Amino acid sequence: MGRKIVVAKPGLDGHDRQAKVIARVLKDNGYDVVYTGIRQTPSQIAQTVLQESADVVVLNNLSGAHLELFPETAKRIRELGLNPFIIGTGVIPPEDQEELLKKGLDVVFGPGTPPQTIVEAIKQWEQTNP
Amino acid sequence: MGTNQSLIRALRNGSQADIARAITLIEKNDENMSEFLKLLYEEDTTPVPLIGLTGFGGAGKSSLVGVLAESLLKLGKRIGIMAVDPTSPKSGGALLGDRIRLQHLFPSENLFFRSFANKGSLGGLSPLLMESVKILEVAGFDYIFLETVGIGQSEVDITHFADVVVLVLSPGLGDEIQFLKGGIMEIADILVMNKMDMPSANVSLAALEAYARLLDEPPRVVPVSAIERRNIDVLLSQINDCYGRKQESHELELIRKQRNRALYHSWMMQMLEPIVDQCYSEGQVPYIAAKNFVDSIGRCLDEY
Repeated sequence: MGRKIVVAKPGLDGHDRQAKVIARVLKDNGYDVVYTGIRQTPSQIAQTVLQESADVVVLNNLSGAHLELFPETAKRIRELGLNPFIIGTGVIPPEDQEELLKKGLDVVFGPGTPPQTIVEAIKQWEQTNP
Repeated sequence: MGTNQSLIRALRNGSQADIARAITLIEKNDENMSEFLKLLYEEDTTPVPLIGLTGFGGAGKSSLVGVLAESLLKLGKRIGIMAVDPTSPKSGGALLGDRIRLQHLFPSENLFFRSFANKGSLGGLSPLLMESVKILEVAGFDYIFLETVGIGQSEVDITHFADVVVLVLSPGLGDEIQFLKGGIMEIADILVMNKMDMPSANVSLAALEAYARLLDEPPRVVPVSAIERRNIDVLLSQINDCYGRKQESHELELIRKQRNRALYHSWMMQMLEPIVDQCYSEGQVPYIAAKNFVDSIGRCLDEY
């Protein structure tokens, strides 16, 4: 049984090429990927993660609102008693990456990250979470 | 034991977290699955209308399910939706994109949506989907929608076992309509011409109506536009009418019996896979392998 991944775009950012590339790469690596589409609220994403029983959540934001939206989304997800592996992606400067890790995200990737790096991170997590 | 019982209790209350947990239990082939299913089948449930939507990819199935759900939510109904997308034959992964069309309806207490990849479902009918219907029934939904992958590839699609089958078409499919003569057109209860907002839509609608008239039991033809929310109430009442007619004529009982039998079939087919692999790898003669296997099972059943 393959792992299920939700790829979600919180906030008002309408640029979704990056999220679609990530979704596609994950699919090509054998994962079942649920894509939410753009302009999602943290609670919409949390309910999606719950209904789909997702093992992994990939958040993507390119608008600069990641410091507000990512921790809030992670909080909503965990408030539902869920504990998926949460990955933050998008235009995220290195100093923000540190902060996001302190605020509920498990791993964060900034611009220029090869998609395969995300796949490797998930595979690594899978090894410790069979 | 206790966990399964409390899960069933939570399901009766319609808890979304527990519906998701129950489906995952079956999906992941959990060790508690047998016992959970045994308890699940002891539950008395009122039958819930199971509406199957099928049609070519891009015809607008997801958008249509979205607007139907939107209308029903406004009436205070509780809606369960199961959407199936294809598994990649190359990677074994799947891109499940049906949620996109109705994410605007969330967050919602009354809407449960679950995406499924069609992997491992021999003949298009997966036991997981069928058991999920049962879970949603126990959870007390008012309607269950099942949205299939685009049609044309599966011989025993679960849509054949839905209470009401809706075929979603869109303008410009004239040639394909001819192509489908012996297929899904004949078993659909309602033919929907979606995208009536498009310029050539009336021509396609006329062709569809002409075609439908020639069938032995002409299905209803309903023109709609999901994006403009046009005629959605008409489609809903057609769905309800069809369900009511089948209930009165006892056709529903027959459909549910067939659905139930199909579930035995699909579980058995799924569990036979490793044995098929074994016979294949041993290079047995296909017919003899099958016959020997079935004969040995028959002998066991006799002794049993």
